[in-house]
Amino acid sequence: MTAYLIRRVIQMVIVLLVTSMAIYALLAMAPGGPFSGLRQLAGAKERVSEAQIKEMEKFLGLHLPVQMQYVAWLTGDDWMGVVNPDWAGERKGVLRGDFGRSFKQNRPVVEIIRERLLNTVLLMAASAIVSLVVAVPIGIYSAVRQYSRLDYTFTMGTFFGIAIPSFWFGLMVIIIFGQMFKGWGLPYLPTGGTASVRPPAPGSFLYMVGAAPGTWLDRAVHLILPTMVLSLRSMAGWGRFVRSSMLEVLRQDYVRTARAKGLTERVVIVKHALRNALIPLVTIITFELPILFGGAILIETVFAWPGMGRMYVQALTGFDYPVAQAFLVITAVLTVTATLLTDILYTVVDPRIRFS
Amino acid sequence: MAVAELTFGAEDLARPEDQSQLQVVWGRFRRHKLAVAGLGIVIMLFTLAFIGPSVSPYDSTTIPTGADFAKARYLSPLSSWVDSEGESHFHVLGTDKTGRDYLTRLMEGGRVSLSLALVVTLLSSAIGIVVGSFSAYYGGWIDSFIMRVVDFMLTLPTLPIFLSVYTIIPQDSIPGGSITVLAIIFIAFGWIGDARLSRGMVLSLRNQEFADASRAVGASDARIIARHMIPNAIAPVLVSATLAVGGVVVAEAGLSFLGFGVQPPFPSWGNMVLAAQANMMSKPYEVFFPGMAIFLTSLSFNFIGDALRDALDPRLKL
Repeated sequence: MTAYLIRRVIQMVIVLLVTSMAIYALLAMAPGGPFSGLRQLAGAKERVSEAQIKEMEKFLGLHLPVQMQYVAWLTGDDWMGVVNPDWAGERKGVLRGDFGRSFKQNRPVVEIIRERLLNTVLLMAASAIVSLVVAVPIGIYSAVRQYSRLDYTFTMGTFFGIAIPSFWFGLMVIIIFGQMFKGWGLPYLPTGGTASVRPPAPGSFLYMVGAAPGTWLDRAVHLILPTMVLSLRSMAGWGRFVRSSMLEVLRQDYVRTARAKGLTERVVIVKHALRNALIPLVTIITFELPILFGGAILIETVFAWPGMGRMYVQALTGFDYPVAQAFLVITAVLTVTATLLTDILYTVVDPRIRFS
Repeated sequence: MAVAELTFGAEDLARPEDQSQLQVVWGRFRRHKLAVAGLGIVIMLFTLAFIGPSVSPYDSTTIPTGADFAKARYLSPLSSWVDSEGESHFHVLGTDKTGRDYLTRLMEGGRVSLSLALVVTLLSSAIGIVVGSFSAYYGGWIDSFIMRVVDFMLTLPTLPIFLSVYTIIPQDSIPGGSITVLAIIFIAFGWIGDARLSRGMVLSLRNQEFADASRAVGASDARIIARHMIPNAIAPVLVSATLAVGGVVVAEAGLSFLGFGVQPPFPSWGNMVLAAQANMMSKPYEVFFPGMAIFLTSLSFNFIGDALRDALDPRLKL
């Protein structure tokens, strides 16, 4: 197992290195860049001279040859004076947690990420928990009462959850629970942002529960709609997964044995069948976390949620490539880690699987 | 003469069998009521999208000019207006913020979204089948290399990558602009699933007796792959392609909604939702209709694909 782990970690490092090169190359090819706006300024007075642009390029480290830009981005340029005194700088590089400075906001990318990461993690965690809490009981019920009316209903629901375009569902939810509820005099929900700035208006759900701006209750209420939308898809997928996994387990001999020795149906299902049926779910969930992370891009845009996904979209539309690169690197690390974690979890939850 | 007669006889025998195979599949497919309903919806949507715009008296991109512009904009459904030449215009779903007939745009948007999905699915399945079956048939280091690439690409979170790739491809220099760019991106990532499916099928087929028999009578590798491997491996790819059509429609809509998809003035269901978002509180139906079209398409193809899986091979599990 140890040898296997070491080999996997080495593989992981190589994959990440190649990915980081691809990410850098991808965005180095992109049009625009920090000076595209400066060169297009209309008046001769405002226009920046080429000499000034050279100076700024040096400030941003763009005067290096492209492959050295990558090295500088990855490992920093504070040591590069050894190679070429002209290349020396003060950046520490991605490996030491320095993602450079944002072109648009002129501050370290790490600072921006620090503000955004927690919001995305909060949204992801809430969605994963809600999905599980709903999907597991539904999956169990559907399997135990296969082909019952409720099973058919849940199956239909699964199709809806998988087919519905999440961003449109988000907009519909905003229209219904934000706008229409307000019109009907029902307690309407907040439809954007992570917290209120002003005290809640009478008639809103926030007012009803007495949430003051910025409190944890206020934040929790803001989470309701985005979580509802983001969790739908994984809810459908996981529910389906629990159902089929449970169906398979229920046909096993040891379940029949458990029934034969006179255990109640409840004990058979919860203690014997469910435990084994949920094993594969653990791995599926770990594997899908990066997908949830990527899926949050649309939901964060719809709900004006200041998270990583929205940061990424804003960075790409604004040609703010250091920020976009940082997002892609984090996603890559998350994906590779999740894949490794999935493989390890297989052995932990199911001792029958051995790696050599 | 005898040979010719024999060939004729064999063809004659084969024909009813071909038909009955199709009938068997259709018979099994028909048992799924939702899939039949889905098929009906898909036919309806395609008819509206491909015939609708040419039947409609309005054009999807022409904006009324002069004094008419102010009169024609922001009309609610089932309303009409009289232009400066005294002609009356009736709009079933009203008009958008620049006075274009919303129903016509919805149908035209469907034409863009659906044809993109069809082209992408056809091409990526074709590439996937060819790559997958050749890779499996020949095996060796090429096969393991291709499968490494496929496995790696399958773990990638696609949406962030699509956004980056979309940004770096210059649209102005490509005929078809943003629509072609989307097609390239979707095909580049679309073939991998089909390649894996057909590879798995061909791996199990290539050493069976009928393959050995063709080899024994001297058929070339290309012929064996084209005539014996691919037709036998096509069922799972057909199912995944059906599901993929709905998937591409949703993906296109998502990208267009973020502004990284089909660019105006061409309508697509995705960018219509984006355009309608600004006024969604006063005109919620403008968000509702294009989104509902996406949803119906995706749902229908999901039902059809699910039934097709049952119909083509009841033992088949994807």
